[in-house]
Amino acid sequence: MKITGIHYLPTNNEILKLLLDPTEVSKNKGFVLLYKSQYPHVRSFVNRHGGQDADANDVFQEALLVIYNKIKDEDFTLSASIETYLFTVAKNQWYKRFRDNKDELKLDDEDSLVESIDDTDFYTILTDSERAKTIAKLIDQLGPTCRNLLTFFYYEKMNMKEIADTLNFKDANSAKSKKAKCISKLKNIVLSSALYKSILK
Amino acid sequence: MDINEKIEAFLTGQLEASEIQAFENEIRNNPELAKEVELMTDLHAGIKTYGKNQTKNIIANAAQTYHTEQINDTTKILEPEAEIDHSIRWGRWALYIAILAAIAIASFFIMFNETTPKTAPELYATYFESYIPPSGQRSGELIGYDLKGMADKYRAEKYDELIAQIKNIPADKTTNYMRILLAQSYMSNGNYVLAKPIFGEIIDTKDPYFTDHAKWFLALNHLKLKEVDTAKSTLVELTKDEGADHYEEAKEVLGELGEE
Repeated sequence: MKITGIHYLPTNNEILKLLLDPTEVSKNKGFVLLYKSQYPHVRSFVNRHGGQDADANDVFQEALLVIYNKIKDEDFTLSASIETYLFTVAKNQWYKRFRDNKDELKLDDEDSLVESIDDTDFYTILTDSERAKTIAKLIDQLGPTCRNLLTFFYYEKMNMKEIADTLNFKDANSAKSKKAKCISKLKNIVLSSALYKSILK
Repeated sequence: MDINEKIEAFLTGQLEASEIQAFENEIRNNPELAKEVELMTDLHAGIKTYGKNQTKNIIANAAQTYHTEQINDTTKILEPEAEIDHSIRWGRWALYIAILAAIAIASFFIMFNETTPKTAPELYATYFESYIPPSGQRSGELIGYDLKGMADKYRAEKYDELIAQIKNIPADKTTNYMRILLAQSYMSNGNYVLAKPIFGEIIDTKDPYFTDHAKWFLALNHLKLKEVDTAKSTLVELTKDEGADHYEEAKEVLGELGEE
């Protein structure tokens, strides 16, 4: 009796732990694991619905970004496996592309594949305002400590204690005081930027 | 709390409802404060965009790692070994000859079999291969069940033990991963009738991972029970989508059953 498809990847919690670790190496490992477990399914789905491998790759990377941004959110509860979420978001993202391109879409297929995961706000994650994009470019002018500290606090949503531990500050208060200085530096950089001023007009 | 801290608290949702209302009034009546809040809103959005860009880079690197590993795996298969000892080379020639002989014998049997249509149970015996879902479908771990242990039991052919274990799990906690193992355990024990409704349950969930597999095994089950027409209609469903799992096998079996 032949048995096929036997391989076990880390559990949900292990993948989440890797993704939520502040180091780039761990996050990379987490994303590679998700690629290994889910990309073949997504590629097969996209191929079956009129897309090429390159489309599948784009959609999958967008889905990974969406998932990553959701799991950082304290209010977000993972009610299914991370792989199920990932597949659903990638699939819906592909349908969205299809609709945006006004290509033919088999609505029957779409209806039958709708899943119970609410992803209505997922796609706002993928869009950024012009101002935000401009400021993101200006952040490169900050030093690495400020860049990391601000990203950890506002994007990764880490608390001051975690930031202090990760960036080797004495304690949470030191990190908080450094954060105020970094914001002030960034404010000065932005306010003196001609590009930012031109967008405001 | 100084004004910067208050803006920060306002933008990060740390103020009470009454404080928010008061602060919004303050913003409306103070253009300088409004400008400052607008700037801080932009800074927060800009930092988040910066963070997202960093994450996009990490994801792109992960994609590259994955695709490179795939290419390397393929190359390893295609690359000849650098140095082959002569005895191994002769051994390989013997192997090639054996393979050719096996192909010739197999071809003879295939040709012979083409003239002798298989019965439905024979088709079942030819096409049945057990399926253990890969790790991607292990959502059951979320509710605290050891799916790997169940798969191990299935592999060890401890079907009775596995059936008892899964039947003991409350219906609302039973996942399709468990159902597919349960149904196949019944089939392995010769209880084809008991397996049928379980595949039906899986199909009803429209779960993209398991539906095609369930349809395929349900069709085989019907063949085993000599319910040929029902088997045919289930197989036809699988052949409607070229990307479906078991699409090719379903077409082959339909061909064997005289359906094009």
